[in-house]
Amino acid sequence: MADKDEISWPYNHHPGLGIRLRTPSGEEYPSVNEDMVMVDTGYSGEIFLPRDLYQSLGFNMWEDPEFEPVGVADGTSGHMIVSYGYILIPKLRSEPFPVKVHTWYEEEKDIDTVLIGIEFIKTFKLLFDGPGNKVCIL
Amino acid sequence: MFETETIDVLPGAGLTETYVVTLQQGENGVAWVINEALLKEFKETNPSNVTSFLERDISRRTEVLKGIAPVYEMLPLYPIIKIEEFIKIREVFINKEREENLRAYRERKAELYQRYAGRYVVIAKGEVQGVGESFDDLKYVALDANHRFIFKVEPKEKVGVTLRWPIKTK
Repeated sequence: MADKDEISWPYNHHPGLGIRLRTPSGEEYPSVNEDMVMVDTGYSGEIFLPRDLYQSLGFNMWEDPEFEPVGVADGTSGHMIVSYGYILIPKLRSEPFPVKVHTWYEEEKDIDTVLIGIEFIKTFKLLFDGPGNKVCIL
Repeated sequence: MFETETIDVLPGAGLTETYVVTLQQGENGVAWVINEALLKEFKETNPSNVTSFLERDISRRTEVLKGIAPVYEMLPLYPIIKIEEFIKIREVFINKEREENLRAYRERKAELYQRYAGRYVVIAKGEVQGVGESFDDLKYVALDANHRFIFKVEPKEKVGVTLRWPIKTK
């Protein structure tokens, strides 16, 4: 049985965290509650957004001119656009975490899901509770 | 108010309720006419920066029309917008301005580091639009652009990213 003070998110297929994104102008997505976002330990950054979501939230208005080279497991490479924003974890605390936001620079490439990477989860102690099918913040 | 009559700008495309704006002929010329009900729905389901982009886009198109109407042969260059098309149009604007801003940054990089080291800079519309002491100083500079670089002028460590998630290629 879950501890009433436990901060955790149940999952079916991929472990994830419940987050909200905030742009430097204060735009939030989703505007209430949280969205489940996959934790991907194969991604070395903080948060990756599919291009449509990135542009819908206006992260293109807060970019750094220095892109970052990216190496993909299939041997291909490319560049990540770097923007800045915040991640909120409503279940954990009200203050946002400042993060670097990535999306693909090359127009022909994209990923159709939001990913949280290992740079962001360095901030916490996370427990991947396999038998319990949940991710907990310790 | 415009008395409206639909012009068949894109023959066979049909003007259905899915269009946010339509090009219509009135007694005084041609105008983009907004479907207010759809725009309201669009605003309710999209972040405000997206809807303001759409509004700016409509306003730009209206300005263009003032110049060209009634030269109808030019109208297919400014076709009616479906929401899905609008998303694509927005991406074209963003990519185009990103490339202009990237060119401006690369051309002036040495000068920026010489003159503004430690300060913040905004590049938009292919130009340096502002220099400030903090990010907040520049937050609202050139917000009418479709793309901006906003950054501290300081040497940055080159970080390489790794990714194992399968990528989608167009």
